[in-house]
Amino acid sequence: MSNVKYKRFFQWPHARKRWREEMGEELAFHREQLIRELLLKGMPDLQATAEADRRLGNIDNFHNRVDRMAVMQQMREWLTDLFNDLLFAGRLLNRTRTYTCVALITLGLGIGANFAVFNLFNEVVLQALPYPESDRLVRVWPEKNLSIEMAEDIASANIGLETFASYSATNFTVKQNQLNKQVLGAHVRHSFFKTLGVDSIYGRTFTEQDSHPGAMPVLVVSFEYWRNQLGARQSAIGELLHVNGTARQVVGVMPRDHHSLYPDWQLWVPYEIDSLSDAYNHNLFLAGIGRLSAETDQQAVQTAFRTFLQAYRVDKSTTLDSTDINMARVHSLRDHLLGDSGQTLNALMFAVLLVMLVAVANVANLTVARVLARHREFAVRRTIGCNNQRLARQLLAEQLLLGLLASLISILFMLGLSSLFADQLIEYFPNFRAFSILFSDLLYIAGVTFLVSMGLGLTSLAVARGALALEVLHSQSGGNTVKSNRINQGLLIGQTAFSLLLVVIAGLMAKSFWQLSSVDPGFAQQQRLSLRIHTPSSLLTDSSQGEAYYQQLLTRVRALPGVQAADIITYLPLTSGDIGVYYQTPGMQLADGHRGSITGVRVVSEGYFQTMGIQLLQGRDFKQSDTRDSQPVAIINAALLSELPQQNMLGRSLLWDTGGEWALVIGVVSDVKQHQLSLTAKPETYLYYPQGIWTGSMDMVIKTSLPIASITAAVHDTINDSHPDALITRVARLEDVVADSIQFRRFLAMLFMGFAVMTGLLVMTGVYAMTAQLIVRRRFEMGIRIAVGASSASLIYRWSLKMLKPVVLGVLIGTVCSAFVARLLAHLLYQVPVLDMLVYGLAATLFCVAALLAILIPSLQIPGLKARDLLVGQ
Amino acid sequence: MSRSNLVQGTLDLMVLQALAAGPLHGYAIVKWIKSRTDDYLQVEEGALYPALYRMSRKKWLDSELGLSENNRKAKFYRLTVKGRSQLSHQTDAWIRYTSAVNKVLAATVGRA
Repeated sequence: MSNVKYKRFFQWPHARKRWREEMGEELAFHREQLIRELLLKGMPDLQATAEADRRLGNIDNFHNRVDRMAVMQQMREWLTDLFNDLLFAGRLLNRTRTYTCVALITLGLGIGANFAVFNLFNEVVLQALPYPESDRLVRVWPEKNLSIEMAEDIASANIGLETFASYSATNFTVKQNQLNKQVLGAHVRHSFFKTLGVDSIYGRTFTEQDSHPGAMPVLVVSFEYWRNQLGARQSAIGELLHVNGTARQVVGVMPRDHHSLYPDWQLWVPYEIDSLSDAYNHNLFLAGIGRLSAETDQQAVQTAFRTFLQAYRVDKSTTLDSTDINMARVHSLRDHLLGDSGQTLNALMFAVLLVMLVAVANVANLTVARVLARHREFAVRRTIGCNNQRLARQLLAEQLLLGLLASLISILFMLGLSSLFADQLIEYFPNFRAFSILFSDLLYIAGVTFLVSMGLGLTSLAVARGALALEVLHSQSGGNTVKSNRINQGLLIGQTAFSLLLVVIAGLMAKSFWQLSSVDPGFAQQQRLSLRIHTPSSLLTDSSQGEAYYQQLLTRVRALPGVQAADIITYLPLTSGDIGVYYQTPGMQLADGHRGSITGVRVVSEGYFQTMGIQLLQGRDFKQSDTRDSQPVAIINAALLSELPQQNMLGRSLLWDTGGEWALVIGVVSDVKQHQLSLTAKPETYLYYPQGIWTGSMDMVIKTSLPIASITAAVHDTINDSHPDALITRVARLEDVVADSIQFRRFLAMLFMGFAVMTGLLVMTGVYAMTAQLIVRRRFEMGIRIAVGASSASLIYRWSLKMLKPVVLGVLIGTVCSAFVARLLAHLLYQVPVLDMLVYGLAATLFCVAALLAILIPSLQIPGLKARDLLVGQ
Repeated sequence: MSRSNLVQGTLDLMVLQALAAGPLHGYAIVKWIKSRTDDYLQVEEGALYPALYRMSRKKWLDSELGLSENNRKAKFYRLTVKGRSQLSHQTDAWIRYTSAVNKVLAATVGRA
């Protein structure tokens, strides 16, 4: 297509208008002539006009027909030209295979990494809440759990919510075909699905009647559960399922791919409202969500919610903390669910963007060299009549083909990544299910490829402009060297800065991970096995039966060969799960309706501290003589002790706001990292299991002198034998439990390190290639210098300094940028300052040394240059 | 003589031939074909103008505005070098085609 055709294509609407006008005039002339002819033949005036109109027909039809024809022809010409250009580009790329392979791999990795993270971002962030008008969904009071009573009061209060619901995630034990299975799900308020805005595909969701005491127990199942466990039968609606020992009727099936907040939830059970049990109504175990009404916003609802809480405190005579009320929030549900994942993914998106920029800059550098090598071809083509636009189009087509091939490689790369990391990603990002290539992903990759191709194409054009001049034929150095050098150096500065930025961030993350992995969790990890036992549901109704069961189980496990100790706890440190209660001490002054402070509560067996290597700082451990009938006793941790006014708590009492008797503090133990290694220990209270709260499940820790693997099977068998309904999950060495708790940070640090190494190698390859290419270009000049007496050493020295300049400049720019970016990622760092001089210094030194090596290696050929040989060669 | 529609694919050839002698506007092309065929062939305007447009796009024809015999502004078409070569090519093809068809018809008549 010539220049004129390009213009015509882009100016098509204007040309079309002009053509229509011309044709209108032409047809008017034709009509006039025809009428004139008919009149001359003697036809009456009116009849002649009618005949002319009949023959010409509707003028619009002419226009439309011509328009259609023009568009088709235009498209055909355009596609033919594009195909020819791509074919020619393919032949050229095939001729320079080394360039093509390096460029394709570099771009493929760059785009592929980008594509993979975008895919993840799309799945985790953009698809986080697949509900209608999900922006209106909010999390009510995310810092606190609610009681049923409070949830009902919020639901009936007018705080600007269209609907309100609450839920509590639960692990249900479902008995099917005489087998017990653990199924994740939630206890929910009847308005749960309505709040999310989803309906069942079969049956119904919950109604208010389902929540009343005495109503028929019901449940709703996920599509996946219905398909996999209930045989995808519509008749499953109405059938009974035994959930936690209660027969519940299946009343509804949720749609495919619907996940109510968490993708692994499979069952939903309505919790009872107005239960007769006060403890049940007042227990703080629910999370609140709501849907904003159309005419309000989040801020207004938050204000109304705080006002509601003030009134609630007065009405219900509760001891809600005024600080809590003033800090109570109504938060976007999307942000709440994403938590750190969103910010982490933003960081990853940023990292892969840098990887891609470095990859593109690298390929651009190669492209500059390639275009310069073709300067004679361009000049000759121009001389024989090829215009600038034609050459420009050809260069753009080459880069477009390169981009297209690279995008195919990137898809393969992404699929490879998916098979390698899918399991880990599912674990780290709860919303993530699998890598999948959707239309939006293809659109994204097409956009990225187009931008990359155009960027490379325009770089080629900028360099080629110098080569298009005729006088270039007489140039020794080839092409516009000053301009291409500038482009080369600019690209090198950019890549160095981007790459250093990634290296610094990776360094900070690696150091942060190293700091974290050396944190003492406060308990011994070696030679210890942990597993979670789901207490048989039949034992939950009577705590004495549960106590007897665990007593007998512990005795049997402790008697196994190689087992040195075995103990239980409600929630093992660094695993999910927690119970928190308000406590008071005798004589504690509770100002302003203060309800007391919060402590975590864990129920343990006697000897747990010894088995875990937790130090007993004061007092004594639990004893078997502490029974359910004797004085309730408690052991507190050092963090709780430090919060109390009395520094000697032994023999003093604590009272929980759930009621009951005062518990006597009998000991103080050292702090344990219960929640995260990065967090300081929180106040904890340990209760003895015969006197404690039953949660339905217990973690068991077994200390052994034998290899862990050798006792696992025996422990398994013993627990399975202990009760027909006993169920074991989460079997792991205690070391692995600790390692798993920081696995995400390790993964993130490794990912950043991987990106940093990748870009670092690209930059060094770029430096090497650029040096080698410049030496080739200036070998004549250097040969002359050597011939007239310059020493090789001084030449190499000057040469290296000159080449190192853009790298040093890039390092400086990269260091400044790193300081800014690291500030944004501070939340991912643990005990590492944002401006960690060691990391910054190491990264900069590493870069400069590597760049020097990349410059020196090709420079070693300088002493071998001889002017006479070069002159003969010329 | 009754009027007949054009044989498919012959319009381009006739338009090119009409313009071989010199520039003509659309109406004159219709008249030229009509007179040369003794009113036997009638070119439909609905086919002529799209064909003129198509041939212009293919660079067979060039056009410019001029004055008609009755001093009206009209668009005159003329053959380009490419159009002339196309005419020669199409004429050869047509002659070969019609002579072949004639031979077939002659043979058929002989056998009958």
